[in-house]
Amino acid sequence: MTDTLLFLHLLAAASLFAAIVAFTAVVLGARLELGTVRTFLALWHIGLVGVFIFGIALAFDIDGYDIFDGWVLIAIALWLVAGWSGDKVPLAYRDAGAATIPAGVARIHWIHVAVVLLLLADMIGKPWA
Amino acid sequence: MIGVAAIRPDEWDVPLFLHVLGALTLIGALALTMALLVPAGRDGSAASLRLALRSLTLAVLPAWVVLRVSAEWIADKEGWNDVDDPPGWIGVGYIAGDAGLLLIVVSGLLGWFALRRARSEGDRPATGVRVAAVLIGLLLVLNLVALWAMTTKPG
Repeated sequence: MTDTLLFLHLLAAASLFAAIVAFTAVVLGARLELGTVRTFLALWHIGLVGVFIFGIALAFDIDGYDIFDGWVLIAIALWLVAGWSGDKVPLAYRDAGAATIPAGVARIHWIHVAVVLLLLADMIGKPWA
Repeated sequence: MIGVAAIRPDEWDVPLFLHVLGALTLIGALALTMALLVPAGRDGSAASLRLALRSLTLAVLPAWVVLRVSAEWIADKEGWNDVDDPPGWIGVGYIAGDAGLLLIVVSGLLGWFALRRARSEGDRPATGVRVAAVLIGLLLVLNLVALWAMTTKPG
């Protein structure tokens, strides 16, 4: 059960990373088809919800982990920031048409990338476990 | 795995972080490359093919290097390199990793030849691009199987 939850948790994370790679390409100037961007936005939503659900399930499932552990609370806070910042690029790309992504949206994207990297570091390092 | 993770020494954190980061980025970059190769193979779009090749060289290849180097690092830390008969899930990782480089190189060459021809003959669907899309799709599936093997550790 734990192994399956961990696999689904990482599968959701892979889905999230696929979207981040695609949105990074857009920020760097790649002109993707709107349908492709929509597909990756769907992957981003699936990944965001998946990492949360399976992550919380793992925290309950594994003896020695608690939902109120420091690293779990940090992960939830980072997940909320990632959720706020993650879909700005595809939405701006849809609205911008042939124009470039606004600089402010690009800045938010790089913050999003940093937050996701911190989230991964938190998962590995588990501070205050 | 979780039991091991809970008692994992701190010195394993950096290679494990790089390994997971490399694996997730590789899967993401492969998904993007395939999403670009499919329309390039269908419509013969040189613009999509050019983006796919950039994704392959600037995202897939660096992610593969990070994944593969950190895999050796973490295997060394965990002592798997000294084991004569390592468990099956390690073998799955090595197959996905080593076959991965071959598939990346072959796909890159097929895409590059198709792009050269598109420059001289204009946009038109090329069989090589379709084959590259299939190879990248295969590599994506291989890496998802490796992700399953790394997390569930069968055998």
